[in-house]
Amino acid sequence: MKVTIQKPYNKNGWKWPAGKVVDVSNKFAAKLKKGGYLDKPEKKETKKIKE
Amino acid sequence: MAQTTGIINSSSIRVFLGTTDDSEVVIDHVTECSISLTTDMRDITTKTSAGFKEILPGLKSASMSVSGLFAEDATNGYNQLVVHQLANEKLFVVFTNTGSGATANTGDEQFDVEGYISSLEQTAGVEDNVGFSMTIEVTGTVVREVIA
Repeated sequence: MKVTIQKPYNKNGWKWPAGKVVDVSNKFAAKLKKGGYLDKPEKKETKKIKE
Repeated sequence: MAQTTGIINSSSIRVFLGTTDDSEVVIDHVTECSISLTTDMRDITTKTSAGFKEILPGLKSASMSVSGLFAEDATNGYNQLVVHQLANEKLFVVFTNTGSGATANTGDEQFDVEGYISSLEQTAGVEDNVGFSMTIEVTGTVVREVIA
């Protein structure tokens, strides 16, 4: 299945940057999902400091 | 998804491979693929076989052939395959049905095997596509499983 890598992946002979779209086997997709490589990184809340 | 009904479009069959189990990526720009299973037969014919050959199944083996088009920037293409062959790397290969999409169709069956590239050829004619063809010899058990 086609997945979009959300953070750099450098394992198992593959080296992909974030944003790379790859067509992987179902089992590999599950492994990537489990490793958090398919989840978009949460946006860090930045507190605005009022001057 | 349920098992696919009816005759399957051959374009739906894809080959994924990698050097680690469950880390397979589709081979890019494939135009044709096949998997072949062979069972050698043991001759057990004796004088009491009444003139007819008798056999029993023996060694089982399998091989896979993949042909495709060459692209320098393929994620998993000739440039990756030739590295695997030169390094004698064991490959984990899934021969599966993705249906009309890119996802293996749950409920259908697929081959999940391990093997080595025994031949890899790159072809280049005149004003034609650069292509490649590869044969993988399977080692160990041939697993036919339901896609989960």
